[in-house]
Amino acid sequence: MVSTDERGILMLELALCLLMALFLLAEFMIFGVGIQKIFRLDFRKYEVILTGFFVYFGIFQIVALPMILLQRPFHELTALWVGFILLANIILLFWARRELWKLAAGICRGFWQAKGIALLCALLIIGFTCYFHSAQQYLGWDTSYYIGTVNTTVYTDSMYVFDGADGTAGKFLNLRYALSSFYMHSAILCRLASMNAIIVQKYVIGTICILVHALILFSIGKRLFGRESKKALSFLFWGMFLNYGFNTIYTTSSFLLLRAYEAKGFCANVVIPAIFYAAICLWESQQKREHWWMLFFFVFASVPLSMSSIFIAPVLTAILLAAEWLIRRDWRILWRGFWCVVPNGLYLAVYFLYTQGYRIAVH
Amino acid sequence: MSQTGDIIQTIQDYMGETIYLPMFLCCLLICYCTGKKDSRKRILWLSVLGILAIFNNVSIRVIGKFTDTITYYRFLWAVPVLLAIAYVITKAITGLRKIWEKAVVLGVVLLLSWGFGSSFVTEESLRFPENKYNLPAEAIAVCDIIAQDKDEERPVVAFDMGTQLASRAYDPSIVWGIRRKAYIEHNDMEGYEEAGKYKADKVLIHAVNYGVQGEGELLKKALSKRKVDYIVTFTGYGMDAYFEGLGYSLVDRCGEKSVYGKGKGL
Repeated sequence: MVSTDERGILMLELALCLLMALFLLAEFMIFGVGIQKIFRLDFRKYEVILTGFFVYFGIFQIVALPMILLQRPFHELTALWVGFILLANIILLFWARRELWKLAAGICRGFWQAKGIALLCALLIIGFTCYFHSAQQYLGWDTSYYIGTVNTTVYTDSMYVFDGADGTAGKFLNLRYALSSFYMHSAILCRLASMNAIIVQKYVIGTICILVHALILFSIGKRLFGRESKKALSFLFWGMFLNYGFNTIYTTSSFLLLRAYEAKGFCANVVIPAIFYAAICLWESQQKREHWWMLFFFVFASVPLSMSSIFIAPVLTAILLAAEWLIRRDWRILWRGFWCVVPNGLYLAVYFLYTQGYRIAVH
Repeated sequence: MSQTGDIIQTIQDYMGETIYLPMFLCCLLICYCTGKKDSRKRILWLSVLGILAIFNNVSIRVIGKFTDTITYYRFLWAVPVLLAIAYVITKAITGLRKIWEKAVVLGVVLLLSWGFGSSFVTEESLRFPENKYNLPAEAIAVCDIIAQDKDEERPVVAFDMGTQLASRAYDPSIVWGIRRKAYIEHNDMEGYEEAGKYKADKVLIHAVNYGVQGEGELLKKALSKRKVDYIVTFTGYGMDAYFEGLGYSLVDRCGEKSVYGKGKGL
């Protein structure tokens, strides 16, 4: 029997989860608008949020990775990131307020214009997927490791110094995981909300993964069906619906419906489809700067989101661009593509050195 | 996932009993046949480059040397199986005028995607979390027992596998007495020839996960080596006297589990 006090705390925590998800979505919008303004780009509405998502995690990596490698206490990263977010928000909310209003109004208008059965079905399948993911009690060794990593970070005020799985102190930083700051971001949310990692990961981060996945499907639909919103929504619906039948433990669907809160879930359902989206944009036009910048941001933030992307993202980008080059015979495709995969090349070099025995000892 | 380094086997493992691969190939063929000239070229080149660069036995071995073969399946995520199928379905459904035609397409899709018993949606999966952590209530109760009883800030606990998986997701102050790799690779009733550096862990696994009682001396050494403060095992194994003899007394019981503490008592 749940007491009234416990029920009150439960409701408060659920409300906090919802607030955190809304806050993150707002940040993606703000960062998207910011990057658009700084680089003088002209994205479509949904592309602003999508790019903002990747830019947000890309910037977080720039802030967090040096602190992880220098083994600074976790509370310093929390303070630094909160300070940065506050500053970035104040500047962007003032400097880009018109663009933000325009974006918010445009999104509302888009929803209104797309009203109908297709929108309803799309919203229903997204809602059901969020519920379905939150309700599953999948517990594997990876779950234990990743959730344990976030919990341990908050509990010990250190980053990757203790083994996330068993809780013992390590002798060196495990760069197989420590090169990606994804879980440290979750730890900051846990610390700020004073909540257990499993609640934040399952209900907030998992939901964000599903929402961004849906946004990418919608964006791809928009490109494939000539901006027809209803067809794009239909594509979104089928793209999500088909997941429910693609049931083996290895599939992208498994990582969407059971493990969306894991970094691997983001690699399978956000990073890879986003690179496909950028490729579809480039198929339409290789001249538009926006398309190249999008590809760059997607690949740049692939490792910050998931170490699984370290090899997959550049290989996929290389294959997509090589195919395009074979059709167009335009060397600029390969040259620009090269710059898109440079960040992952650097990560790969560091990781390769790590596998060869070059380790950072824990002090 | 297959570790044979065979691409066909890997794809079979990835797809399981679903028929998404044939569906994907059909959709790719449809896209190729109905697409414009450039789209056809793209499908062709992407397929050729994909096979040459990644989806072949040599690449599996090369990638396996860099990371490991067991994670190679992640490259299959880059095959846009669902995107291609969703594209063809959307085109088919939005292109049809009559409702009965749409219904037929819908029926075929449902049959193909869900009709082979591979759906995620089952009676068990349509549920609500039993608590806010969505962890087994018994595991939470076990961790609470340890938290209330512990003298050490970070007690070392040898858990049965199920409780171990949930324990640190709930309480990060707990340290596992049995290492992750030991449970993954040596969770069996076999001897210790293959256990290597995980021998102590395996002795603990034998006791807490299988209820083995004939390894008193080995277990005593393992408990000491791994500095175990608490033991969690199934009550049904009847280990009270056995653990008492090793200096671990019953602290409390919860559901099917019993918690024993070093030098403790009820």
